[in-house]
Amino acid sequence: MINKLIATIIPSSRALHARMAAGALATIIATGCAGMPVNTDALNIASKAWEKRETISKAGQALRKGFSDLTPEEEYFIGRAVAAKILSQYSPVENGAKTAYINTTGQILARASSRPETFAGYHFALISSNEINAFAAPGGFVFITTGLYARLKSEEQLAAVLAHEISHVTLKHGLSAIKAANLTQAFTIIGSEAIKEYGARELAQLTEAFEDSINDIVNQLVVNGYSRSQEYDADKEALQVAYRAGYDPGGLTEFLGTLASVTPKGEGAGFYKTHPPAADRQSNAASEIKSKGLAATEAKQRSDRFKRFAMK
Amino acid sequence: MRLAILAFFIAAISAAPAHAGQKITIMSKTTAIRADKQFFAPAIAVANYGDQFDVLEEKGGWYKVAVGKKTGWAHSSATVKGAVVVSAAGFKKAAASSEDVALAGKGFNAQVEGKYKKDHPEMNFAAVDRMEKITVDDASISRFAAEGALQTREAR
Repeated sequence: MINKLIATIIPSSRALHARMAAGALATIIATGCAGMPVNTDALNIASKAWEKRETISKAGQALRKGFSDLTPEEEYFIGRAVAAKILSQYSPVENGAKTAYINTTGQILARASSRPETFAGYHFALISSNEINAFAAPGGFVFITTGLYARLKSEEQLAAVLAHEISHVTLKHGLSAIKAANLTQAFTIIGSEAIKEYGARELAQLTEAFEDSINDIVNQLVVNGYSRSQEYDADKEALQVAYRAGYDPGGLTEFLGTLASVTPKGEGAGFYKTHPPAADRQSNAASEIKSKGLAATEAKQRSDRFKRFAMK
Repeated sequence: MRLAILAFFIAAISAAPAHAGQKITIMSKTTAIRADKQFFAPAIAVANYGDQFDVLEEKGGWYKVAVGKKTGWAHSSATVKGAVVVSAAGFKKAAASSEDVALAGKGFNAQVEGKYKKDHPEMNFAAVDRMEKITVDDASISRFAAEGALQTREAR
């Protein structure tokens, strides 16, 4: 059975030659694109292995090594499960007007990001909690708490928070939390049994690796928070995203000022637990705006719009 | 005569598109092929996961491709370079022979999620499904940007 399944993905030598002669496989080797945020390494690696007529087993075990080798589709399924776990701990707020407002703002920012398209796009939700917090699950599932929303004073600040979370997605900070051992386990199973459908044993093993990976990410998002450098990088990227979308990036420094006044010692978790203290992040963001010439002004239309939606 | 032949070949080589032979495969569930290389341009078609296109031109993170008799632009973040056939485990069945079954669509996929869901009924996938159903169409995004005096800027 396994041989039969493997045979479906490993072309026979004769067929392979024929296909290569026809040029069909010549284009399979994806070369990636400098500065392109979508990781294509996994596909490139597997394609190269296929061309060399190595087994997929070898390719999976030897060549896919780290979180950056996960495909956009795998990232999506990981993100869905992380989101499902977050939404089992925090209730989603069913407010059509605010949800639409957050989603439209988020889509404008996503389009201005370095990775406008993920496997299934970006989605934004308000979740019920007094914590001042925001999360981003891999693939583009972004959450902000009602506690955080209540502290926002403008659309520029909302945009800054969403841009910061989008940046965690584009920079793959969530995926980077998966422990190497869990990925190695998954890649080994995937490599040895790569086809249309997994058998019961492989499925159980792969699901275990999947579950461990989800737990690694949720633990990072909800309990430990990101590292100092990851937060600074997401802030830096968020300033660019907000600027390119047409917002005043100063919304980030303003909101970090609010955060600094509420959490001077950075207690809590997620956005609330700022490993670098919020005051340091605020100062860094202000310097970045000045040095890159990102200063802009907030249009009155946006401040009026924010007030209208705050009432809903 | 020889010079004419040589000139013909030089002209033929210089007229060949820079991206001749290069293919891309769509790696998002769906993506819009737009009339121009910007997100606010109207969509001329919707491409699906696994669709393959010949690249006619590449500019600023966008690929120009042909859709029927029209041409449009696909954003690079929705694509992978090369012709990759996605498997039945993904969202599109391999249309060609079994030998074409694939390199994508394996690993953490719908089947793994199904098992995970079964093992953990407490996970709120229903809310995730609802979240994914919320979409904002291009017209709403454009209207929202105009109402808020939002104009996209070049990166700095």
